[in-house]
Amino acid sequence: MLKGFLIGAAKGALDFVLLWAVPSFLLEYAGVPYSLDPMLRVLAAAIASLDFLEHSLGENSLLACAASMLRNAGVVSYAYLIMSGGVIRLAYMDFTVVMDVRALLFMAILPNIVGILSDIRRFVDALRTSRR
Amino acid sequence: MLYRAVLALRLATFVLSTVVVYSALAFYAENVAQVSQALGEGAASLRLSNKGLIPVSVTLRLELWHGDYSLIVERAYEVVPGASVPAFFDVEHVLEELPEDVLAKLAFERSEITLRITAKIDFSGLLSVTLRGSRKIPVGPLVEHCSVSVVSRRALNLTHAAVRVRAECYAPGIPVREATLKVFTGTGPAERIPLLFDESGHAAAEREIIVALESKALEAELCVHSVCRPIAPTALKPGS
Repeated sequence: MLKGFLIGAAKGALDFVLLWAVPSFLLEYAGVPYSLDPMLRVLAAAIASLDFLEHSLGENSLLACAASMLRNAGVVSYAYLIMSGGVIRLAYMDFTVVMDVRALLFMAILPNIVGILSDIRRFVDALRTSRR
Repeated sequence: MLYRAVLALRLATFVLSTVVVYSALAFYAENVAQVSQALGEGAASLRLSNKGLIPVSVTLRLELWHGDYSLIVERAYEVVPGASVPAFFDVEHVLEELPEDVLAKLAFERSEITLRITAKIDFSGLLSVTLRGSRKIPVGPLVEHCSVSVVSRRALNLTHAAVRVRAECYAPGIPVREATLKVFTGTGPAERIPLLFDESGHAAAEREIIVALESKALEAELCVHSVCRPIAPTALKPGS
């Protein structure tokens, strides 16, 4: 229980760092004129909390599967939002900059969609086990 | 099993995404200063460096507009990781591709060229960045200075003299490579002195011409293709 709690806390913290602190730092460091949507911080915090919850509750519990599903859905929303649906437009000096990041968006979303399917299966298995 | 497959997929896509984002940021950080300078000044030689992990292809498309005339120049560069390539982003060089009649107008007049720039940077098909913008660039007069001087003079007979004239023109860094100096002797058709500009923009030529003794000054004009402009008259005395 304690081990799961600690792993969950570490993963949650890592999630928040990777999803909010690192992108904010990199954009500021590189001087990229692109501001992150404040909603992304909320999503990053939600994903971190759900990751913590999933690991604290134990991998095969119903609540852990639900938390994992929600977490994956959160990551999909986060990826879609941070990449503006795959095409980012911004103004730089007198220039219009269009970034086509659809391939990256696909790479970010794919494992989470597969993860959601995997969670559904785990959820069904856990449900069957609990009924028995 | 499925859980492990998801984990592996997650790891693989994370690593690939990190590589792409790192390469893009490295390319941006390495080249942004000189690209900004080039875009600001409208003319510069670029050296595109790729310190990322994946190959980058860069396509530069320049559209020059002068009046109704437009010229499109497109160049593509492939920069492999760890390499740097010189990129052509020099308006003066692009001007070389303008047709003669446009160049001839710019040789003597101050004008404006509208430059539309499109730069497409592609990171192995995984990420592409397109920059579009336009700016107006003052161009011309391409010929900065032109003069004719008399080097020596000797009488031929009672009515005519042979005069050695030297023509010098300066047009730095321009695509005008050939011009003709027309010298009006007052005795017959104009003498044509061909001028060839070197890389530094200098052109000089000497020619002996026959003039009437009664002539006080030489009238001359510089012609670039079909457009001619008069040069200040030169007194018919050596050293003038």
